[in-house]
Amino acid sequence: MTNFSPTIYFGGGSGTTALLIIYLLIKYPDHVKKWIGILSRFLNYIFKKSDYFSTKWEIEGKLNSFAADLETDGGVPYNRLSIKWTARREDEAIVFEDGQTIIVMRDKNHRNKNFVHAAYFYTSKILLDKVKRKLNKENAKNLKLSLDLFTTQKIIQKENKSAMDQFVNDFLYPETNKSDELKKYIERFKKIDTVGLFFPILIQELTYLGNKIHLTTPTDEILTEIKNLIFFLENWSERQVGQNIQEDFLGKYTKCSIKIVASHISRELDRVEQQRNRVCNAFSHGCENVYVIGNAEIKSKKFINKVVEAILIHKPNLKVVKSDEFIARIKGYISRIPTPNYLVHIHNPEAVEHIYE
Amino acid sequence: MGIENENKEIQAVHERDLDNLLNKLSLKDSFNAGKIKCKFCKNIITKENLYSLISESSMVNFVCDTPQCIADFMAHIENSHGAD
Repeated sequence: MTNFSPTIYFGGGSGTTALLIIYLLIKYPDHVKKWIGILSRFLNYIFKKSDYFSTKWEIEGKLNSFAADLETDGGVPYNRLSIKWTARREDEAIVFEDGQTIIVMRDKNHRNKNFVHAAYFYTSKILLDKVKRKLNKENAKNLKLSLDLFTTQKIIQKENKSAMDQFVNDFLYPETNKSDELKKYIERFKKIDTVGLFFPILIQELTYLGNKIHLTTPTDEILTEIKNLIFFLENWSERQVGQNIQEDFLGKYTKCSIKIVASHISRELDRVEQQRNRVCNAFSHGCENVYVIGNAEIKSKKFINKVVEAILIHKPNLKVVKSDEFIARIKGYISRIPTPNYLVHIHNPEAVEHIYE
Repeated sequence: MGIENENKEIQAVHERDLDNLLNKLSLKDSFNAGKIKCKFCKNIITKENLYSLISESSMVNFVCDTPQCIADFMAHIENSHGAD
């Protein structure tokens, strides 16, 4: 039996088609050209249409799924993005009112450039917009820019790693080399992120702050408070295993606390009530959010959940906003040790002040 | 918090529709003549380096795609929004 190769078959098939086209071209040249023209216009139309859809859906899909991952039941909402194409048709009326912007997108050969530009715009104008408006001062320029750059870098790292080189070469590297202050902020965010607290606590708290209404223009007080929150979290990132450090951050606008509740002794002696009281005390001191942290190993996680359950029985007005596992690179005596961590975010809606004079 | 997330729309133009957009804004001739400059760095805007258009005081301003100009553009639109 003859061994029939699909390649030979395909080759024969294309050869036959080519011969047929040549034959038809000779016999009916105008008709064939007309139909090839129609076919190629149709393919071109499909190709061009698909470019709009693929660019829009890829960018919206990736950025909105990032926002959805950050979001939690009852926690801070993160706005979504939707791309609206303009000037696609010649008969389309252009509405371009004062204050509006139009971003230029390239064709599908520039997917990474499109994503980097859209992610940067999303971070700056949508994700962090409200908090940055509180920092509407010249002396906060580097803080705002560093927040934009670091957050965009995290989004790209998670959603589109292939665009990372483009972002680092085009934005991160040139900008961080321009200012020592900006470089310092990036270093601080990197440390905070090393222990897994950049998005779950820093961005979360800044978004809570951004949603508060200040009737007067932003003052240096807010800038100082945000800087202090960053220093507080940086201090946490420098904490060595077993080291006791400041747990509460009690600012004028931001009041939060980080509690490690599942130490070996507490867990072994089942000191649920003692740990519950520590957390409840933080709420009694006015904290809006307490982040309960511990090791993510089964025993420890079980103990943390027991403590959280006891807290909610004791103070039923509190809400668990999020529980999540992540890898924290915690400082050991010699180097940082990657440790699976478990975080439960508890929120007190009654402690929130929405309007400040 | 009782606040729901919003869907924020951003307007985008595909590079192949730029001519149409510029035509509608009556800026095609000046653009093609190289008379349009970046709002921030004052370099000439081309189809290749254009990042954004911004409508301000009934005028259309253009921003090029250098990192510095994009950062300046973000800061500029933040400042023009004011504070809460």
